[in-house]
Amino acid sequence: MMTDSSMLTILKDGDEQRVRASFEGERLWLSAVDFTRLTGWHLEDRGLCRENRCMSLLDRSTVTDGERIDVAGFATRMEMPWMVDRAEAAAALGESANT
Amino acid sequence: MTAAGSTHPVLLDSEHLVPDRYGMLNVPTIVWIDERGRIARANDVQFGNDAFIDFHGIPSAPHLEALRRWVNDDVRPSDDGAERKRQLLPTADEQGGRACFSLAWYLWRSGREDAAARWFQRAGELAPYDYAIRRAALPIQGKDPMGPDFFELYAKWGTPGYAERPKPKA
Repeated sequence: MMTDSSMLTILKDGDEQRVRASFEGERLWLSAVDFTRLTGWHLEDRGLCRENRCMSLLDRSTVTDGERIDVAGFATRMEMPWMVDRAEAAAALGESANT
Repeated sequence: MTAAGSTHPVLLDSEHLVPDRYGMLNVPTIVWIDERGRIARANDVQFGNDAFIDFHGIPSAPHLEALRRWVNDDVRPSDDGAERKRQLLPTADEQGGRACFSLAWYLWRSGREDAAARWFQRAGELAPYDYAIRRAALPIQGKDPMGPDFFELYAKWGTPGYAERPKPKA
């Protein structure tokens, strides 16, 4: 699969973050640091965690390749809307209806 | 607000955070917030006067009277449990529409109007009755929020409220 690394603006909670991201099909990889800065979540052995809350991952490969985090996979796991305009190098990560 | 000579505080939410977080669909939406910052009465469509009552059919008096009872006599029309029950929780499509709107607004501010227009359109497809999105998109794009585009929207969706999920008119 071809990957394409470029700068992307991701919108979340009214903030804009410029991050280096790698597209791979529908997947969008961020460094773990940028991912945590964007979402507040981080990866642990027990799953994705934020403060005192964790979400288990039955298949970790849906979200991580071991180093990077796939924001699209994260959004799917968390049922968060994820809108990407690749031509404009911009995306928005919304709030889940189940939050 | 400066041009209007406002003498009271006005909070401007340019990034739409409040409608996003509290599921506001219509303009105007009223929320009662008590002195502790807690919601005492959840989202509702109400008006401060009857200037447009022929249009929407919602008289202002019952709500204003209830508001006075609460402020003057500390009498709420319903308790916390009833307020929770009557809240309209968001759908995945509505949340998707909100994400599209935030992307469109960012693109518009960045001068990428054609791309923004596509995302405004997509937001409206996902959340067709969300006036907080659809009417907000009109003046951003140089359209009249009380013009033909709004009346076309109104003909289909009327005055979306919070008692149940809005349904299109026949």
